[in-house]
Amino acid sequence: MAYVDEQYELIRAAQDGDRDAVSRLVSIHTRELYSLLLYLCGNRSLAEDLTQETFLRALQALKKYQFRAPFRAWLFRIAVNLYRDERRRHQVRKPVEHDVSDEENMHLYTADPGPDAVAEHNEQVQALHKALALLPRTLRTVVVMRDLQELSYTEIGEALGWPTGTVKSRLFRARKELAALLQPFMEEPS
Amino acid sequence: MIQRHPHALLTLYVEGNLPRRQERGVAAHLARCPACSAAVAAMHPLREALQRLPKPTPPPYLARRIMARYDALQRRASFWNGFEAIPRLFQPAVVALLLLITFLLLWPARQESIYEQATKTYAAVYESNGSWTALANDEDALRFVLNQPGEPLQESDHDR
Repeated sequence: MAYVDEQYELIRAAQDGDRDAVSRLVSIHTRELYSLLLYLCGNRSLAEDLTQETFLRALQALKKYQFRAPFRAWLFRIAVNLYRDERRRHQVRKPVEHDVSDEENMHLYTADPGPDAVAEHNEQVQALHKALALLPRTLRTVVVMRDLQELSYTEIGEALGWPTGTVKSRLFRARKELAALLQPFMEEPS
Repeated sequence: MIQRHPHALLTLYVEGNLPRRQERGVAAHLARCPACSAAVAAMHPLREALQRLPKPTPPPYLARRIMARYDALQRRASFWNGFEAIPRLFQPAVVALLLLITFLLLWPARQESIYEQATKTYAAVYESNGSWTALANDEDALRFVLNQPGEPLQESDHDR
């Protein structure tokens, strides 16, 4: 069954070789793809390379995309496979510490939060990044896709090649392990 | 003791995505299962924290770099597509023609390399003797190398 993507027209135009449509697709998906890969590998430079490689592979195979899965899921599947290959090549067991700058953390505040709140928030963010890096790769992937990137269960299932039931149960496991790792940071101050 | 824990349903419960009837069923399970109840309680603040995490921003050049590589691939692909459009019978002739053109284009470069070699030889002789006079016997050849036919060679003050 064909999946009706909201970017159907754009994808069709890109498949017909319309460069502007390709450029638009790239600009729409670059951020989420880069974000996913950065959370997976924890290294900005590698995330950039993998994002670039994912797009090139996807664009070369674009004519073969037949709307059987959401476009984003198709793209993410390529990215996850590329990351897996990269990991196998370099035998990277755990990602290095996540590199998210203080400037990016500050974007969360709409009003002036004050120095104590910023420090507390930064500490929590760092703890979250460390805990994410400690999760097994599959669990990290599923939690990043759902809780950070807000993909649907169908999209996650398509991207990872799992049934949606498996996505939900692994998501439960991932959150449970993450919560255990973060217990000291999540408790409300009494 | 509870043997089965509805993990998939608990995931939806935490997200508030369960239909009312199933939600009541899960709530009943949670009331009887301290393990699931504790896990679910810890997941609410965790999800909030995860959703508040900053979304990393890719560097501004990344999309441009991707498009530049895409354009390069397209150019290469269009060359091969053009070649494949030629009838199979004529393809060897086209390859032969391309080889001939390449050879003709490279020929001047080969000539140039002979000049360069000669220049180096004369420069080496000049350096070892410190004077143009050492080259007087081969003046014509030097003119040829310097591409100044007909002009008499003159020693500079430095050479004297």
